[in-house]
Amino acid sequence: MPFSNCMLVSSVSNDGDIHLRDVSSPEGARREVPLDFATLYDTWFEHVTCWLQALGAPSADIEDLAQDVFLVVRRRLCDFDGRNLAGWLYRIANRQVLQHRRRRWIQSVITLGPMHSIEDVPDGRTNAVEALETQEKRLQLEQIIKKMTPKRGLVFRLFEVEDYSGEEIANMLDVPVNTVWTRLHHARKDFFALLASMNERKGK
Amino acid sequence: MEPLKFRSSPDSPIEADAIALLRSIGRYQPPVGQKQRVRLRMLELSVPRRISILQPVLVAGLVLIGAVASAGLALHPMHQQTQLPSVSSPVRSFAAATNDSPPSAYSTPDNVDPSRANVSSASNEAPFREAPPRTAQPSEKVLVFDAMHALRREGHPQQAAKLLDEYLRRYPQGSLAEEALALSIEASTSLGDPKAGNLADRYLVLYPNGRFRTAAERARARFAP
Repeated sequence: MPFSNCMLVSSVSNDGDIHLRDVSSPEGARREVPLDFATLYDTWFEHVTCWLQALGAPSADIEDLAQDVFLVVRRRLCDFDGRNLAGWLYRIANRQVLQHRRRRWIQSVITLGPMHSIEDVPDGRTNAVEALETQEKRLQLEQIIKKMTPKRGLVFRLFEVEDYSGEEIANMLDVPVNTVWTRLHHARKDFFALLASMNERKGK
Repeated sequence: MEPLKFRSSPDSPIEADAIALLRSIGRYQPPVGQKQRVRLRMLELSVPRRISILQPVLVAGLVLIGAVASAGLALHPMHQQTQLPSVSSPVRSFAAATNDSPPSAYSTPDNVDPSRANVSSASNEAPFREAPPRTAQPSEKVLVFDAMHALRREGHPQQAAKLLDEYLRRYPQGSLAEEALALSIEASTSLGDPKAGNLADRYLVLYPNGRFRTAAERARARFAP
């Protein structure tokens, strides 16, 4: 599970200071580390890039978006209340993706045409066939998820593809766990129906 | 609840397809070196200053600059020169005529050239020949508003009556003539002056459907012979 590998949770001490604890191990859970940007970056960078991808950011822009997210984190870290670190980071990432989408839309309007993505460039590596197959499957999954509602699609992707647990997703999205299960239940039904219709179209 | 891809026995063919599809796609892994690249790029960028702290100061500073600039403009000699004929001459003439302390809106600014003020007061003896303006000019407004202020705020109906008489003499067809006449009725009524009856008659003749008709009728009834 992604969080379990390096799960730092934030807590606020009695004197108001924010500390991080690694809850992935009993020893780590007992030891509190002061919240600082370097620790946060080292621990959460992969999560943030994963969320950016799950939120639909183009692969070519994830690096720039991750930088934007952590610039915001560095600037606003002093304002963080220490309650829900994952949720706080997720909200920042979500906002950055929304802003990025708006920028892309404006660019596409100005250039009067679709923006070409780096994903469109052919892959010239030696294992290109394998890479292409994976790319095709990912594309198929993307097409299905795009047809779901954004909330269901996000929960489905985080749970089924990115291996987050229901509790982690609930914590991140700041919703009750049962809401996550409900969304996942409907998302699975949508997924099966959409996959079936896609297979039918292919004449399978 | 476990992820679909960990299911060993699918219930339907479509579920089997779904599981196969999900198993073929691994979770997202950032490209090698991306983390380090972003870190280096962030190190190149200095920590930006927190604008949010400065914002109130900036706003206050801008307001202060604006206030100082407008005050400076108001005190500029050129500006005063253009303002003097329209605002201060009728006011000062009336103040001279009544010998009362003029209301604040009429008071001559300390830094006004005295010679210019004398010219203004000397010229007030001349008859007012200009046609009454269609829209209320600053001097018009000042007279009526100060009369209203004297009548209702300061409780000086006598001063208000003088101001309103002056207004009606200068601007019989002025845009605030109706209001001035109504205020004049009110001032005379509060003074117990029988002139209020005549003013009320005049009002009802000039403005039979005016907004202050009720007050005029009341005054006429009170001061009827």
